[in-house]
Amino acid sequence: MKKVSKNKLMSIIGIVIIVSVLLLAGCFEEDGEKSIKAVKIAPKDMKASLDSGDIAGYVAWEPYCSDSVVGGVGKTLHLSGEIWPGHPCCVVAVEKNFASSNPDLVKHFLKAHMEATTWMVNALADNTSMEYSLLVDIAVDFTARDEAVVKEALSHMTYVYLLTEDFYDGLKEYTDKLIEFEIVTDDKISERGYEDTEDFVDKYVDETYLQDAATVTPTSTSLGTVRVGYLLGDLHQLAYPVAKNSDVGGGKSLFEKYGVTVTDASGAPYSNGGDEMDHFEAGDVDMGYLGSAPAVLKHLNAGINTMILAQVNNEGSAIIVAESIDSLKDLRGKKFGIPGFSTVQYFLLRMIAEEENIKVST
Amino acid sequence: MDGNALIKIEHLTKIFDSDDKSVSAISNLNLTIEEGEFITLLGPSGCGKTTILRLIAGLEIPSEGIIYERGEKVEGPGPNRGMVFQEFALFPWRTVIKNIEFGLEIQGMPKEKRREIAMHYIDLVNLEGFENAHPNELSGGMKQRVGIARALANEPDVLLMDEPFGSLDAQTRNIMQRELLGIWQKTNKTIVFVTHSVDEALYLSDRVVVLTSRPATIKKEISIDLLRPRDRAGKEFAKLRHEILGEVEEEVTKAIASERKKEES
Amino acid sequence: MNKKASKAQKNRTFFLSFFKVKKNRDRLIHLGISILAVIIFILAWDLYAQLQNKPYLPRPHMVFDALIASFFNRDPFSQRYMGEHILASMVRILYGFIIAFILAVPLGLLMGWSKHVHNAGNPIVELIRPIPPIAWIPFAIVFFDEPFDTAFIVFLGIFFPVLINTIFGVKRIDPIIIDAAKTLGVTKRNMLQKVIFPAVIPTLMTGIRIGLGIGWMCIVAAEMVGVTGGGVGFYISAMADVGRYDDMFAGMIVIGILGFITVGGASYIERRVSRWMGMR
Repeated sequence: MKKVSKNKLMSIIGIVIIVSVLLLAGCFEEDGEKSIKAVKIAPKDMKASLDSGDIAGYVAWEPYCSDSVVGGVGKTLHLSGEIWPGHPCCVVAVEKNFASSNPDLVKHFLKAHMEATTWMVNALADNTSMEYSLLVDIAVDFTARDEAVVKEALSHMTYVYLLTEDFYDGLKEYTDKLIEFEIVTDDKISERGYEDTEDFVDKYVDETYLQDAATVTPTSTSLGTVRVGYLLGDLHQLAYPVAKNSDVGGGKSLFEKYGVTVTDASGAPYSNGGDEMDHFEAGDVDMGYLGSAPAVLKHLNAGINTMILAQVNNEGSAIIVAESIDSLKDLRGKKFGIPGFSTVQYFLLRMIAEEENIKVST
Repeated sequence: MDGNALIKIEHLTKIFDSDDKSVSAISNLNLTIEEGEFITLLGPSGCGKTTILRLIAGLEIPSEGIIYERGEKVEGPGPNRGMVFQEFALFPWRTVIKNIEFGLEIQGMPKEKRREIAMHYIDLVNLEGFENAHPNELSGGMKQRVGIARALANEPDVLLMDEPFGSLDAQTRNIMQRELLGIWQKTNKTIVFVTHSVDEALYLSDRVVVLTSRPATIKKEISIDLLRPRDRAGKEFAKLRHEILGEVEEEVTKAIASERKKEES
Repeated sequence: MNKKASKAQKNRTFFLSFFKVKKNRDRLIHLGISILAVIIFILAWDLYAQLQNKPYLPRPHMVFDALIASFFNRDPFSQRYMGEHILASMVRILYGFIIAFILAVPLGLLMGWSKHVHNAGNPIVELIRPIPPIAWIPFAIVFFDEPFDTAFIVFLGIFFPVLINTIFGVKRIDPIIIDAAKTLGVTKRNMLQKVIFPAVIPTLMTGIRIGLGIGWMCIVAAEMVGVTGGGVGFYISAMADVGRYDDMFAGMIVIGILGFITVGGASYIERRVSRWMGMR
């Protein structure tokens, strides 16, 4: 008799605990109502998620912004240039050991990148030119988006290879913010052998290769193969397919012109820069196009042995929202897509949210 | 005599059909069991004697023929025909007392009352002190005491016992046989007992029914008029044992021969 | 009669206490071996991590520091303490578990008991069962709202082991017990409640134990994709995202420990119930 009642008591206590845990969890959720709930979504899925109502908005790079706008699924709330004018975006990074053992190959690669970028800037300057329509064709092919989306997206693009003063400042500002947001600790800066963030940016960005590349001339000898990392359909990184395209160089691609053989790195294209950094670490990638944010973040936190050699573009991202959203405040308590926690896009969200005094949580 | 018949079996035939063959287990068997009688079905292993018991219990349906209990046709299992199994068949998750109470609980008897009845039967089968033990804590002999008490607690008209002591050691078996007789005398229950042991049949029964090898039918009925408690070493006991053993062995030989024949063909 | 009873009782307790002493000593030895193995494992890990000297394989003490810190500092992404992440994950598992249990047990009993129900249900069960729960994540995210999107993944992980074990448990019941119940007056109506269900409980508990283990694997995978409200799986994936591998390993260890506690607890209850029911 006693045994039975004891067991009954135990089961009652058990049920009470379970129910109170569930209720308690409900209380915790209340807190989330005031913050924007960032969820990680692959950029290629963002349009569909916005369309299905699963998320109320997202921040991404082109063409995943124009994709929704042209498709009538969402509208632009902020272009990234409005949040942070001239902010650094994609860069060309290199595995340090690869650079030191193949300096010539790296310089020739950069020369092709420079020429491709210049060609793109010229093409974009006149959208009636042959070059412009070739650029659109390459972009359509690279992003797998239709012409309307690509043209809209291209209008927000600024391609640049130079390592400008603004770029250095931007990168320093970004690194300082990483520390402020506690994503990187001060210890990590010194752990990697840097005195402070300024010292870090100075050393992590090496402009000597780009300076030397300016004097590189075309060659008919093959200098070697570079395994290239890049992101899936990222319009920022259009310089890569342009430099590979034989029509751009007049029968010979720009890479070929400078004696560089390129091959897609194992696993490329990647879905975000963080993944690409992991492939750098795994030894799959020699040189890569990726966001400066993951290139900095993963170098500092995980000690991945890379450095930045050139810019690829700046700005070119945007916050896209559903039609019913008119300000960042409207996003509170709603799900919001980000491409990853190591991306500059997540960062842009944090920056504007901080400005407007809104919490970003998950 | 017919007025006292508790169970009447008429032209009972049982054929087991499986996919590739059908086996005739019982063929045209007629038997009347009297109220209060201790009757034993004796036969070689696999002769179908267990099947007869299961048919009486209602766990099997006759292929032909009818079984009556108190004039009513048996059409399924019921609490008025209690059964004791060789494998004990206790509910392992129930304690001794809860096993014994089981049938009463199914009837919806109030807890206090069924506990009282269960305690009475625990007393009867000498299981005091083990009320709250689980079956896996008991020896084989004790398990079968629970089996008997559980069947009796329902106060059935007849107790069907299927080689109940078959898996016990010789010592325990003798003790259990003696105690079973005591219980039978105290409760006046009709007992139908199945065994392949001539000794057991002789020691316990009023009447021994010797069955033929498969398909089972009655070979011989023998009334045992010896006084109880019976002396297993006694002269008359030995004479009867000799007689019955002869009958059984004949059937065993026949069974082996028919097996061999089957193998050859 | 009373004297006899108490003597029997005494005999039983004497027997049990004798076993207990021996058992305790054995248990101590087993525990010692286990602890030693864990220590050797950690030392080997430390040695290998030092040889590698790479941030993606942090040394044990770094992971330990990160683990402690995670309980006292909010993470930079979801602004939650580790305790809140654990709670979030546990709630999801609990929901998944409760729903799986409520559906799988009656269905398992019916499928084990009735050939027709089995024939009807089996093809569907066998078609869905081999699909890894994580394959449903995209569907679940769109179809359900938090916490049921992730709970659904856990549900799938737990449902099938519980169902299969329940069916197996019913089929494994000795038919003689069913016969015995019938001769004692049990009808078709109360057979399920009085005989089948209690007989199945030990196998059912095995299903629960296996299911809970799978549940932890599912929750981590589910939380790695598009989840709100935190969770240990989220913590692991976010930390991996930004290259904080010591924190990532800390999250992995939390999952390991929680899984160990849950499954260990379930197997303890399984053993207790089996013993209490006299089924072992």
